[in-house]
Amino acid sequence: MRISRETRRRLTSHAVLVASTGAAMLGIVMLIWILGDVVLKGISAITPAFFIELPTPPGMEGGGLGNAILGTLLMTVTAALMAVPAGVLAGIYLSEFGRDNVFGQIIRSLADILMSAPSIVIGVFVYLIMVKTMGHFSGWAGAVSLAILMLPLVIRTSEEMLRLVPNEMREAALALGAPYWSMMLHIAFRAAKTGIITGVMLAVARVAGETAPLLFTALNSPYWVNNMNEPMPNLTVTLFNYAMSPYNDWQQLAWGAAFLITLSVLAVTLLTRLLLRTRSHR
Amino acid sequence: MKDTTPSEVSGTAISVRNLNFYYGDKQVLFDNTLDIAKNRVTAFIGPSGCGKSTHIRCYNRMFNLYKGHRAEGEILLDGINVLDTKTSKLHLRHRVGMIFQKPTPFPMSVFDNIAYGLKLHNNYRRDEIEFRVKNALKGAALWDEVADKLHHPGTALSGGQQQRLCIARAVAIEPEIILMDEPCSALDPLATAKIEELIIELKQKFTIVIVTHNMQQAVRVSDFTAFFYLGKLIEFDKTNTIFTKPKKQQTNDYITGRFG
Amino acid sequence: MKKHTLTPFDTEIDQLNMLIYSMFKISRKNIKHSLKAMMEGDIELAQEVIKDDEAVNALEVQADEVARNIIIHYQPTASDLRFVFAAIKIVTDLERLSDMAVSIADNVITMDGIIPQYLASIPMMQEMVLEQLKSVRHAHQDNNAQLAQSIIERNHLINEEFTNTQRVMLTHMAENPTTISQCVVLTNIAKVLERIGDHITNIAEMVIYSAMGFEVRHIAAEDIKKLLTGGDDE
Repeated sequence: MRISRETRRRLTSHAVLVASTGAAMLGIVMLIWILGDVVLKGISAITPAFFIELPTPPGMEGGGLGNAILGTLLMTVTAALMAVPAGVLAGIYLSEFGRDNVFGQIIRSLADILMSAPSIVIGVFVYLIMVKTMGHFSGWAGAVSLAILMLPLVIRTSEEMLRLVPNEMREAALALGAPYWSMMLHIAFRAAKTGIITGVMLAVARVAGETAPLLFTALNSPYWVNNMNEPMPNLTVTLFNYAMSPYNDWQQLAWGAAFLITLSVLAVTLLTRLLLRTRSHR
Repeated sequence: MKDTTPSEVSGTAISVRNLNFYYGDKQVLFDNTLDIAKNRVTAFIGPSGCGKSTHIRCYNRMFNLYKGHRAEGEILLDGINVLDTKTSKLHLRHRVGMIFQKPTPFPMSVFDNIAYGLKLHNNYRRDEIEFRVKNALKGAALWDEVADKLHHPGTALSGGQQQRLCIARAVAIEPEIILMDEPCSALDPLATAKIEELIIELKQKFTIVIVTHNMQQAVRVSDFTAFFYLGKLIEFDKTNTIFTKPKKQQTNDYITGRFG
Repeated sequence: MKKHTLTPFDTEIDQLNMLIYSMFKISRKNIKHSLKAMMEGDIELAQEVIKDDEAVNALEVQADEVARNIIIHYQPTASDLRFVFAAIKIVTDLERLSDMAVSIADNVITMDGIIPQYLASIPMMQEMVLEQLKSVRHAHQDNNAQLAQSIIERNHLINEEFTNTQRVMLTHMAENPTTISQCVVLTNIAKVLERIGDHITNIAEMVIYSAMGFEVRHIAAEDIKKLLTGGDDE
């Protein structure tokens, strides 16, 4: 049967359309399946008790993951306080002074390499330099490992956002007689502000769900811990432990933890998208 | 030059003597010498890449921002050579303002855009700043259009308004000289006309140097015109003379569209 | 002169030049024929001249149209501006030249076919005028300011010949009263020839403006010479 060229083209077009739609559907189906599972299984665990109570031994009524939530929050915030200033400052350097010198290129390459380093390797590294030397696991070590994970993201986003600030705007500020630091602080930074904040939030979201580094640094704890110098309870390791346990109510708590983590990361990502959209409307 | 020189007309704002400029090893300006007349508009014309923008960016040492850019010679402002590394850049830029091709409002309100420059150089009280902002906007023929929008972001204005905002920003700090690098290239004809009208008004208080690709614009707004080609100053004279009976054949060829 | 980057600009300039050239040719012909008609008492030829003037008028209108187009489309500056400005003025003077020829032809018709016997310096004036006309046409075509300046310088000779003719005619009329009507007409014709000389001078002044940018109207001839030689050094 002779098929005309045009018919062949149309058939190919249709075939590819079907295949690509199918692949997209596959991705969406997976996403919905995972989210659906997490929501369905985890939402029943979300009670006020979940947030304020300590975990109880298996079999006992009640209990929550209040300490793990607090621990994760403490370590994430500490990590951010360490990584963000350093990362933003490095980003400033790369954007303003390191655009075409060798040193800048080296920093940039190192940041890229660090970005793709496996998080478990980072965990082991911090174990060696902090846990072993200090002699015990600690929240500080956990925070440091998270900070190392956040750092390259913050550096690269800060640099890119600052680079997006048009050179004419910098020149306009300097032409008014502004010293360089004032131009950077009041003008360039302000223009890149939204973008940099977005980058920070994305780095936080990435790090909030990490388990492997915390295994070697903060470990975990069933108690309320306020002292960063001790092993810190956290959601991800708790999830890891409870999910593998044979107890139903612990598994239920694990689903709750999974739900909470997923929800938080989703919320942060959506918030950043919202922020970016309102920015681009200007 | 047999005709009156700028200094005879109204005094000299800037004296350029033997200005040479280099990007690294490459020389792009060759021995430029001219006088910019005070309270007049001087236009720089010439084909792309002829060095006119590079030349005026020497007046406020904008090139210092970039590695390897180097100027030699003298640019005298009240007898002081601005190219001398000992002269303060910040002081210089207070006296010599600049408007760029692309309007660049800062990411803040209209009011703050102008207040930024004011706060850089003086410690004014709040009411004084308000007064000066209003004056600057009036001076840039923008007040009527933004009086009720002072706290809207600068980026919310139209292109022509944004450029006038940049002009208001520049005049607010009361410079002596305003440099304009193709200020109307990105604007529509009506916005361009408003800015040309503004330029003619502004020259009563400021000395203006404008780089332009549009020769009709040079004729409309300027008193003196300098023709540049390949980094050299080919001819400099009263605008009327350049456009009716230029002395150099090259000038005539460029102006009448016989180049290349 | 180099060519314009925009070719249509050059095309329009060439068109304007062609129209001016045609006006030169027809006006010259009309002047020559009107004088021939006078010397041979040829009324028919005189009437032809009057008719041919219409062609020149049409050319004037066309030339002005082309000039306006150039201004609208190309916003001419510098040498181009001077060229168009001069062209508009020259076209006016060329149309006047043809009108002068008509004036002579009118005078010939009032003579009613009589062949004039006593011409005084009129043949001389005819020579000079036609020579000046040829020169100024060349000066315009070559944009030659020096040639134009020499034309302006020589104009006074035509004026002198007219004064001479006037005096001689008066004397002749006094001695031969029967020739009075003829002589009056001939004096008129001589006056017209003098005015033709003046229009040719106007054209030459515009050639100098176009070529060099000097405004030399209403300046004495010697001063023009000084201006051209003095203004030449840079």
